[in-house]
Formats: sequence, structure tokens, C-alpha cells
Amino acid sequence: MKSVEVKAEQLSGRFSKFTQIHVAVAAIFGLVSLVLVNSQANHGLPMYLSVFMFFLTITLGGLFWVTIFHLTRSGWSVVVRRLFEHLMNRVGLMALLFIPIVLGLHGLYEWTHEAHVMHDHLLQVKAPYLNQPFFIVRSIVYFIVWFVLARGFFNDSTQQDINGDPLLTARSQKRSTYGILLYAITISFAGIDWIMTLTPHWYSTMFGVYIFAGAALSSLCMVSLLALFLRRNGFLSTVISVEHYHDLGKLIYGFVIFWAYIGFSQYFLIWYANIPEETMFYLSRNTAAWKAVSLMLVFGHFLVPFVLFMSRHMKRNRVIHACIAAWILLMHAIDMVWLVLPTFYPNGYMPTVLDIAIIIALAAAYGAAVWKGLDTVALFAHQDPRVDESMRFENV
Amino acid sequence: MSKYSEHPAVARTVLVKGDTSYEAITEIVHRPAITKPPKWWHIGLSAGITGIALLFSMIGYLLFEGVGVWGLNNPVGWGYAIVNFVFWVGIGHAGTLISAILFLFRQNWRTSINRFAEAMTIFAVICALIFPGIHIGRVWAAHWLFPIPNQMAMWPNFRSPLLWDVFAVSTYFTVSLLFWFVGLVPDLATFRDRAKTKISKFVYGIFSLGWRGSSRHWLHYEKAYLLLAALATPLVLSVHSIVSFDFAVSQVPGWHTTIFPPYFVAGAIFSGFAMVVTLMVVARKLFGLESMITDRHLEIMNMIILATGTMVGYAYAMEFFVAWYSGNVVEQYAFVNRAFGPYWWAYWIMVSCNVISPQLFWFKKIRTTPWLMFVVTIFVNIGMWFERFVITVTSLSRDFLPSSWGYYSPTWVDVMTFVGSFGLFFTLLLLFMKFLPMIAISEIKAVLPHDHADHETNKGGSNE
Repeated sequence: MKSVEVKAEQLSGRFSKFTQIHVAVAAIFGLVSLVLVNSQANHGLPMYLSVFMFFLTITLGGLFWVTIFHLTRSGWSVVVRRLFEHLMNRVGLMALLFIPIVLGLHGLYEWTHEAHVMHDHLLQVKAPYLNQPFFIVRSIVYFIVWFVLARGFFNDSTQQDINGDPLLTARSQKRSTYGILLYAITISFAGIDWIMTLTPHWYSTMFGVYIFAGAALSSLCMVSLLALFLRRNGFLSTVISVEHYHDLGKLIYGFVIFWAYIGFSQYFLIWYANIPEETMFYLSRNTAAWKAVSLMLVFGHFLVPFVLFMSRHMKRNRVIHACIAAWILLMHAIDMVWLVLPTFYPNGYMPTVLDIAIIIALAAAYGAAVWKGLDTVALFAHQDPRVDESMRFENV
Repeated sequence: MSKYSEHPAVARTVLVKGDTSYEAITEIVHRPAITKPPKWWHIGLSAGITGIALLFSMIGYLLFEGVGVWGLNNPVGWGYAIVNFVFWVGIGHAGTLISAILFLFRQNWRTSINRFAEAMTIFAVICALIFPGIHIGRVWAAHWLFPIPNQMAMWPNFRSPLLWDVFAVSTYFTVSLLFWFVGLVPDLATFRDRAKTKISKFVYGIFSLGWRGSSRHWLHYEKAYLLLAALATPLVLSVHSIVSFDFAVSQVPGWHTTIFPPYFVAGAIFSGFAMVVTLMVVARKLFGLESMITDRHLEIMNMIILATGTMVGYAYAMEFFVAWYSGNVVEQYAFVNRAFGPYWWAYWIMVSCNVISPQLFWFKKIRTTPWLMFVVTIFVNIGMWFERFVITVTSLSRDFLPSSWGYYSPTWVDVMTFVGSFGLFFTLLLLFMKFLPMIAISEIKAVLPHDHADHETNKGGSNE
């Protein structure tokens, strides 16, 4: 029997300075944003929501993959699972970052304007769902569900690092069954509440699935990038092998297609039936400056990675793998902007200094939290009962 | 390494039980082909052929009299024929999912069931193809469905999803057949080598394409298999997505909703797996295949039924929620009418069979007891037929003009044609079980426990 040596790896403060820089940048740009919010006519909320959704989808994608790995008793993924767990564990930070959205509800959601609702029959009809107290209650419920699930998985996994108890795996597997149900409901309705109700007249049954597709894809890309970055710095290089990158690449490729499938189905059915109350969503995105962005998504988010990432060679080449993962993350960011901004600026938009400050602040805050998290526990689940299977696996 | 990798809570289960020598496995799978078929097989085949006779006499009657013998009316221009078409195509989804997607996901337990599921897929698609074929009215012009250059310069409407259906389903059928056949080649050669009569040796010989099992043959075979798996994967999604477009591109409330494509795909896999389990529970008993199709195999399939059934439930709920949320009275009416209108009975049969009954698989007892899962999967089969009935008929019977609202009831011809299609399905299935290897012999030999004695973690994948 071939036996592999599993040695725990730890960052042990290697990136503490890096983390501190992240914190400092987040603090500075957070302050800059706060100052600029009041001094500029543009309040920056739409961009804030886009960037928030970008990081939220990555976080929830992490939760999805951890759940699905447990649900399917996946063996190959054990050595990369910890990285997904770190993304998933950012739910608390995202809840904190949600506060500005609650404070800015009025600036984002048309249905919060009572004067406006008075003259809009449809919004009056929808008032039982679209009202502020219910909206906030729902949002709190989503965060509680995510937090409880993520905490449960994370605690089990890190506790196993110490005692190697296989019953912890069994418990996580159990949690994953009802977890995936709660997850499906909450991510769908969070997507509907936070993004779809920006255009409160518009509706699409596919919307929740669209948000999910982006979440699953972006978290895979983020994990690939994280792992490759750690590898460059000498971590996990004997643990996460080219076979794991190959598998991550296959999943990225699959979800590039899944995203396109969902996006296309939604667009196509609305385009074909051509009913005004549905087409309005795409009308503002297919005219003026937004048309270029829509096309960029078609090509950049789907066609380019579809062609480039098809071959085995591309998935196994670390440099190309990293470039494509980064590219897809950029496209995912544009997708989130595309979902939010055209509603507010139908004629196109040029980011302001405030927007850029918001992007940097949120990215640095998220980065700091991820690096802090990585530093606190072992870099991979070295006591997982299936860790040998994962380290030994090969694509044949 | 972890000292707990063999702990019962996480250990991988063995995929093949009992006598796992190569000889024994070949023997078990080959036995039906050389022994006289049992009595039940003859009875089943006679019933199946009677069903075919019924099917073709109904079709003959339809062609002689015209579509008026069906229950179609105005506004319900789509009835049993479309419902049956979607029902059978849906069942035909399990095979490709198992052979292509589970193959790419390295789900080794599939090796026990893939052959059977693929065969079932092909027979189901054959049954499905009959219905649109006889629905077109002028059956003698059925070839006009294809864009064949002609002197009248007349073409089908390329913008119609009905035409895309022609392409999608025929592509699906072709690829599924090829996939099935490529997988069969090594096993056909085994049958050829073990054949007892000259005729069977000749026939198996022709279809095994001169297979001698050289490493060059295996190399080509594996390559072809992987390529076909990759090609078949998008087809699993595309066929039922396009079938859903038949409904969803329209403006009919209850048909036009954006979640239709993935919702139809989930429903198709759901119904296909249910049919596989229904048939498998019986077949493994009759042919004594319990050592290869273990309770664990059935349990995993039941878990997939639970997962896809819940996805279907998600889609039902999301449709209802969005209809309410939309504030669109027409949309709201379409759904209230489904649940509480004249077809309320069909709707509640659908919900109880498709959403509630698979939830029973949360209980380990139910998903591992053959007769219990048999009952549940029969309910799922019924429910998925009613789903298509509910979608097709309720929306049409209450269309845009209240003055033309009507009620659709099938005639005896409708019902008998559908019953007859089961005869065709079961006849083909019984012939398959008699003459072809029901289990992929060469593939299952690769997941035997002793083949991985040196490789303790990769025992063939399935897990507890």
C-alpha cells in the first residue's frame, strides 16, 4: 500500500504584515469613502451594493462548495476544502458590511419611497412583500442561516485538525443535507430581495439561480487563485497538486457553461416572448453605453473562457490557470455591476473617486479578513479521514 | 496519514459483493443469453407485443379517421400526444446523465447501472419520437420536419422551438445510441466468444466489430468513450431545455417563465431515475443481480431522486411565489387556476407524487428497502406524467379569451395509444434483457475490490 506523508502546514504569521497593510488600506479608504459620501452629489450606494454582492457571492460560493463536498462525500477535494471554508467564514464580515445598505435603503430601493408608492398601483399591490420591516427581517434571517451553517462546518473541520475524529465528518455530512435546502432558499431570496427588487416591477423566476451560478463560479476561481498564491510562497506545494488544479479547472469550466446557460435561458425567454413588463430589465442593459457591457459579458464571461479553458493543458498549467481564474473574477465583478448600475444610470456611468474608494476599501477589508482567517488555523484539513485519498488522487 | 480512513462513519463501501471473480461476473451477466428464458419473460413479451399491436392499431385508426379521434379541442390544441412526448423524453434522461455526467464526476458506482439505464433511455426516446410524429396531422409529410432542400423552396420555420426539438431529440437519440453501442462492443465480444450457436456467434461477431481486446483496441475505446461522454454532457441539458422552450417562449401564462429550462432538466432526471429504480428493483431480483446492483446502488439513486425531486419542488414554489410577487393578475390567475380550478385533481396528484413522495427518501429505511422504493418511484412516474399534463392542459384550457375557455378530456384513443407505447417500451426492454449484457461487464470488473487491494482509498468510489 502506498502511503503518503501528511504534514500539517501553517502560515504562522508569514503574512501578518500583508494583513496589516490590508487593514490599513481598508481603514483609510473606508474613511475616504465616508468623507466623500456627504461631499459628493453621487452617494456611491449602487457601486457599494455591486461590490458587496461580488464578495457576498464569493462567500456564499464557499459555503455551497463546502456543503456539496460533504453531501457527496467527496474525496479529492479534502485538501482544498479549507480554502473554501475560509471564504464561507466571511459571512460575519458580510453581515457587518450589510449595515450601510440597510442605512441606505432609501437611496437604493424605489419601493421604500412612500410618496412614490402612492402613485404606483403595482407597488401598492406588492407592499406586503416590499416593505422595510419585512425586508430587514428577511435579511437578518438569511445571515443567521448562513452564519450558523458556516460556523458549524468550520468548527467541525478545525476541531478535526486537533483530534482527527471521523464523527465530525459524519456530523458535517449530516448538516450538509438540510444545509443545502436552507442554502438554496436563502441565496435565491437574498438575490431576489437585494438585487431583483431594485427594479421592483420586473420579475424572473430564474433570478435566484442566476445569482447562485455566479456564486459557485466565482468562489472556485478565488480558491484557485488563493491556492496558487500560497504555492508561490512555498505553502501547500506538496499538498495541492496539479491534479487538484485540474479538477478545480474542470469545475470552473463547467460553471462557466452553467452561468451562460442560466443567463442565456433568462435572456432568451424574455427576448422571445417580448412582453414589455419583462423586457424592461434588458432594455436598459441593451441600449446606450450598457450594450457594450452586456456584450462584454457574453464574450468575456462565457466565450473567452469557454474556448481557452477547454483543453486539459490549460487547466494544468498554473500560470494560464491563474490568468483565467483572475479574468473570470473580473468578469464576475462586471456582472455584479451590470446587475445593479443600469437601473440607476440608464445612460451609462463613469466611476467616481468615491466608487473607487469603496471598491478598494471593501476589497482590502475582505482580503484582511481572509488572511487573518488563514493565519489562525492549519492550511488544510490534515486530519480529515479522507486526506490520503485526496492527496493520492490522480486524473487518469 | 489519518488512522481513521477505515472508520465506519467515513469508509467507502464495496461496490460488488459476493463472488467477485472475473469468471463469476461474466457468468452471471451472460447467463440469460444462453439459457432458455423463464416463463415470466414469455408472458411479459406477449403482453408487450399486444401493447405494440394496440399502439399501431390506434395509430392506424388515427391516420384513417384524422386527429378528431383525439380529445383535442379549441383552445386545448395540445393534449395527450405532447404530454406523452415530454414524459418519455424525460425518462430518457437518466441514461445519458449516468453514463456521461456521472462518468465525468468519477462516480464509479455507475458501472452497475449505466448499461441498463442507457438502454432504457434509447427505448424511451423511441417511444417519445412516435408522438410528435403522429401529431402533425399529415403523417405522410413528416419528413418536412427536416430542412430538406426542395423545388418549392419551402423550409421549416427556423425560429420555432418545435423545429429545434427535431434537431435536439434526433441528436440526443443518435449520440445516446452511439454511446451505448461503443460501451457494448467489448461485452459483445465476450458474448461472441461464449456463444453456443453458430447464428449467435455470427450476429454478436458482426456487432462486436472484430474486438480482440488488444491494448490498442482499449486505447481507442477509452478515448472514444471519454469523447462521447463529453459530447453527451451538454445534450443532457440541451434536450429538455429545448423541450421547455416549446412552452416557455410563448406568452401563455403558466408556460412563459424563465426558470423553465433548468426546471425541466431537473424534472427529466428525476423521472428518468425513478424509472430506472422501478425497473432495476424488479430486474435485479428476476436475474439474480443483487451482488452487482446492491442496495447501496439503489440507495444512491434514491438520493438523486430526492435531490432532483426537491429541485422540482423549488421550481413549483418559485413559480408560485413570483406569480404572486409579480402583481400580474393574469399570471396569478394561471397558478390559482392550476391548484383550485377544474384541474385541481391533476395538480394535487402532481404535487403529492413529485414533491411529497420523494421526501420519504429522507428515511434510510425507505430508500434501502426495495419494495418501498418501488412504490415511491411508481408514484414519481405517475407524478411526472401529471406534471406535463398540468402544464400543457391547464394553461391552454383557460386561454386569453374567456369566451373560448373549455375543458379537455382524452378519448379512449388517447388513452390506448399511451398504454400501447408502454407495450413498445417493455418489448424492447425484455429483448434487451434477454440478448444483451445488462451490466457493463468490462466496466464493473474495473471497480472490483480486489483490483484495488494496493489502493485502499480508491475502492471504486461509493461511500457511506
